[in-house]
Amino acid sequence: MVETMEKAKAAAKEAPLAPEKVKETVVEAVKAIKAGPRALTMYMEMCAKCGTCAAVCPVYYGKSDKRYNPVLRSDRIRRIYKKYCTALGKAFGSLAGAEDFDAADIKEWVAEFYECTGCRRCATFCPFGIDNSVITRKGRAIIDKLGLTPATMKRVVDISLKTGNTDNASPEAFKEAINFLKEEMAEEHGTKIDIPIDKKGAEYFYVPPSGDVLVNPEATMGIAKIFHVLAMTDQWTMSSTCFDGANYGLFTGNDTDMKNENKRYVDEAKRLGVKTLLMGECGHAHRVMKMMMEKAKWWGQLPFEITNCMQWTADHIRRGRLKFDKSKNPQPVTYHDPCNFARSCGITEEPREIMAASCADFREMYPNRAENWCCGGGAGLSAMDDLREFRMTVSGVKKLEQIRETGAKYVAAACSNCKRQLTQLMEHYKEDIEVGGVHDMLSRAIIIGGKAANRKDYKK
Amino acid sequence: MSMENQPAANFNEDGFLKEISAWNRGLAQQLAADNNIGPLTDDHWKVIEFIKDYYKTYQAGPAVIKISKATGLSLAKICDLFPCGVVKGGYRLAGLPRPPGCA
Repeated sequence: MVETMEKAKAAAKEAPLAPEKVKETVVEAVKAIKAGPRALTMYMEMCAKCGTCAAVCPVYYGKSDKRYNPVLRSDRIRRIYKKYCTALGKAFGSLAGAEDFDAADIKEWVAEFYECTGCRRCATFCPFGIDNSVITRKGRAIIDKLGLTPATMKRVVDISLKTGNTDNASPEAFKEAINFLKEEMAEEHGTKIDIPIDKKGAEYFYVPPSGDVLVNPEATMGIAKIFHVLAMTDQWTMSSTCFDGANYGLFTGNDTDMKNENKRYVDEAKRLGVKTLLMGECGHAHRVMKMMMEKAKWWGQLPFEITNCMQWTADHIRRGRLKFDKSKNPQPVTYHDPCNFARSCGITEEPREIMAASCADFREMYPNRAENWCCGGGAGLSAMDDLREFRMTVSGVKKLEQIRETGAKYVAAACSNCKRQLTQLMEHYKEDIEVGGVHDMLSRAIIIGGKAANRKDYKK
Repeated sequence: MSMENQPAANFNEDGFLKEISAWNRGLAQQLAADNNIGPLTDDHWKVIEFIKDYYKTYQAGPAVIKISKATGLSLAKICDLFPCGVVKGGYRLAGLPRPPGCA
């Protein structure tokens, strides 16, 4: 019985929507752009087709195929907009770049809008400042409305809404992972370093990136060690129910999902009564909190501030409160600017200050900061295993070249999304380059009680 | 990927097991062959069994350094055992679902 129901459900899921219905949904959504934010209507009307975006796009760089050209991707929506929303388009049709939607194209829509990494490099170089990632997000929103969001992406949103984290992990799993980190730190430094959990009235609430506590735990140890050195261990906390700032609603274009995923974290910060929400090394989580939720006042006036852990740490380094033994990190290291931090939030110097303070041989890749090339896995693509081949052989090609040129043996990325993509790139191209975070290196070099961690070299 | 011996319904779109309850050693052997891992040695089984037991307790996979510590195998050794990564290799062979997010 259950099986029959599941089969029916699966069949319903696979059954194509009636073409008329698809067309109606798409056209209505595109028409709604006219009454929406002014930026997007400008993007619809202003493109001069100069091709600058294609020249600076990591995807088009990887493979100069027409379908990877940002203009042509965005034109899928722009053409319909012109037909229904502009006087010229209505009067002159295709002569004015207007064209109606053909429901037969919907498969290509899904494929193409999930081939943009949303890195916004195009927006940096476009003479009009057209941000194709906004158009991509609109395209994905329409796809989501049609129920056609790729399963590998949809699953992450569903799990995140259900459990509050994208790893499907329970509070027990989180607590066990934290206990393990405490044991590690005690071994490394011969002293007890605590990680408070669910502590009401703490000043800081640290929200790590997706998977950090469970899979890449060194950054969390770094944060705990800083609080320890500053004698502020009693002033911070993590949460056993909110330990992953990721927000995949940003990536599927579904605003309701994005806000629901975000609200849980804001509510938790309020419940804990903290003064500062300390966001971890996750680019899009920080961006949604700081540049979207806070700025647009989704939940009104907030009783707390939002800052990123890299800004917080860099400030303590500038004030001379943290000391490091750089000899613990002798290998050449480089920093990959995650698009969401560098281009979208202007956080570029702080990670460099932390790396420079804790590593002996820091090297830049070029170009960098706001002009940095995307890792090739942005906008959630990194979590999609079905796109691995594309990410390795198309969108990630430029990043690989950049990293190789530095000669670095460790590349830090302050973003789990980038880390996953970069790790897979190194595997795919058999490069012996470690991928990790910024606070990971800090954790290895920070001096506690006169010396840095006696760290077991797990590599040997 | 050839899954001819097992009904495809057991696997999700990334080739991970849907239900850990369906796991058995034969299935792990087959997953290993399909993913160019192995032949499976005692060290492989040590890692697989640890991941599986940890998951049964916590419903989440263990951190790589935790695996290293519990099994006494170095990270380099674990990488050699599972060239495609602990999550893609170790978790998969232990019957865990892939953590869906960025990790």
